[in-house]
Amino acid sequence: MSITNDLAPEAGTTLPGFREEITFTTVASAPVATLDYFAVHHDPNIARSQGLPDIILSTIQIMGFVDRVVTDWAGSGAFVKRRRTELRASILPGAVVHGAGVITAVDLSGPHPQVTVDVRLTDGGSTVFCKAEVTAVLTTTTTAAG
Amino acid sequence: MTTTQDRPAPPGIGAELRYGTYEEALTYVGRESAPVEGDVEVNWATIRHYCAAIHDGNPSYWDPEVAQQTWGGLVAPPAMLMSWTIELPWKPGDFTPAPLVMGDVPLPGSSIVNVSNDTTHERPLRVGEKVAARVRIESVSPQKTTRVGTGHFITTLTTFTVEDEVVATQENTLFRFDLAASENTETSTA
Repeated sequence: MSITNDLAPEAGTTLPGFREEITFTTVASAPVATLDYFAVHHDPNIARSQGLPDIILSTIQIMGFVDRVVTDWAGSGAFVKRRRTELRASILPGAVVHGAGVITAVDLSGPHPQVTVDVRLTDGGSTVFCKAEVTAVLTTTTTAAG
Repeated sequence: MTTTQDRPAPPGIGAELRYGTYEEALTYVGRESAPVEGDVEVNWATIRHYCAAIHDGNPSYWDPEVAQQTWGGLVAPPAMLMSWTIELPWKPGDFTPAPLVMGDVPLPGSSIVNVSNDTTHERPLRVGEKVAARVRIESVSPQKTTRVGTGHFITTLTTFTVEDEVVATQENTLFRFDLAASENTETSTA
């Protein structure tokens, strides 16, 4: 089985992205899925005592959705080297998260292409949950230099 | 200088918070914790629960054959980095959960919310590895008022290691604050 691929990333390309419905189960799975027991992710009473309307999605899960915008497109050989995130708005149960990405830079000087992607998680409208920049190496794609 | 106030954290917040003044907080800038190893090693069961929660179908995390060919074995999603160093909420014996290191910084606010994060990964983490983290307090901002309340931004730099190898570094900024008096903060950050 060959797992190399022939992605030819170009700056300006819009990645496919995704749409995901966030349920109570998604949010409350934080302890089992991320080992994060911080109570605002699973206890509504404590979330409300913190001024939140309800439990909120954990940072570790949000980062996973950010990375997925890149890796859903790039495939299993992509390695996220760097991720910069700004958390703008809480993601609550019932939210629909739209993941979107645009390639802003491609570096072909190494053996494998390195892409930088501008990522947004939004509600599909004007609310930006998270603004991020991800740099990933496409380790199963070979450049001319490789 | 005011001494640290002994004000209890809200019950069950999941983090112990130390209370004090901004001047006290500034004396923590530059302090670095010893490396603390996580209680749970990188493991495939937790990886699959995580991928199921965020609908990540990446074969690197589901298919041992693909993982072997691509990475030389099963690896964890990079976004799970922090998972491997979070302390269990209970352990047998005389156990007091260690405070979050950023919660150690004495400040007035009783709430915390994460604001921004910048993580650099050196390599994938492999199933079976135990990850340790050491945290340095980089800065504490003067008092600021945002839409969620009034408080201070705390920036930390965490170095993640496996044995003595640095596998990732992470700069994180959170807001330690008291809630704005009136309305619910419908759009406060994660």
